[in-house]
Amino acid sequence: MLERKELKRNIRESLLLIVIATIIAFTVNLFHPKGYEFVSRAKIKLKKIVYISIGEAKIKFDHSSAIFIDSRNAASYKEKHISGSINIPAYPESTSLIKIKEHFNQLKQSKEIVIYCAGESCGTDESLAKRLLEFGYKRHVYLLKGGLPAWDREGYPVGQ
Amino acid sequence: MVIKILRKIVISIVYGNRLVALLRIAMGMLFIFSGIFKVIDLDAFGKVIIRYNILPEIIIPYVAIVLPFLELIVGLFLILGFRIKSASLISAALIALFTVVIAINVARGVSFDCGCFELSRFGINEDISFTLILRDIAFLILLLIIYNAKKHYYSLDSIIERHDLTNL
Repeated sequence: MLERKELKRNIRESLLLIVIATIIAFTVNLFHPKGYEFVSRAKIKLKKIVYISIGEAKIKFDHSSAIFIDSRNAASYKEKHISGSINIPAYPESTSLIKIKEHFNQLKQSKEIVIYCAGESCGTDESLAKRLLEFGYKRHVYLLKGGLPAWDREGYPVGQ
Repeated sequence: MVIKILRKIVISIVYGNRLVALLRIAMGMLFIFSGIFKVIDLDAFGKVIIRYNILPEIIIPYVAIVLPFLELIVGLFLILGFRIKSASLISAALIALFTVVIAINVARGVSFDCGCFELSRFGINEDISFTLILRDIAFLILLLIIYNAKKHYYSLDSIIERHDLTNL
């Protein structure tokens, strides 16, 4: 009986020691150069969004190693778009999701994704990229710096 | 005659003599030694845990951070002889845990440096094998002897106890 009581007390004390070790460990880890960093999942997802230049995009285009996605609305897409690109508008959300679902299997396959919009800071390309990652796309998403105007200015192929 | 002497030695060890105290300090040093190298490079220790292929990857950073510090604290307590019961209980639990995960990998038929006590720095082979399991079981028995002992030479616990008794 006495021994059991003692064992219980020892186990309680051991747990306390483990708690103390844990607190020290996580505190040291904060400043440890070879420690671990805990980042929110949302932030890790955003790290998958990478901006690329027109030149880099052209290389992907020439090797047909990427699918180009036009994130503007359907009317603008019809008027002018990068040759061979598909249209997934970033807004309105409902249309966007329907289009993502429609194309998702195609996107999941081996090709990379390059998204563009109507210029440098139109923002629809980034919104669409985030939506794709939220939808479950796992790899990097590339955004075209300068968008369609920059591509057009270089005289690279566009379709209507 | 021989049996009588042996019996006396066993009883003295179970009760706790100077040999047990030396073993306690040696085990403490072993834990501190292994803890220090893991603390210096937490990331490398995380990779060791990955090699064992048991824990899911999400949990590994937490274990890689906490385990080395636990080893350090337990080792320090064993050497100082402070809260010996708890320290030896935790270290015995740790060794038991290590033995199980090593045994699982021996059963899988794989072999790699176990990354246990960093003894490979002294040229001591620590590859996962059946002998390694036996060694860990020997350590486990030692720690249980330390846990079970009534008297601890060269320890803070005994100094504190004496102090308490004289001030009764």
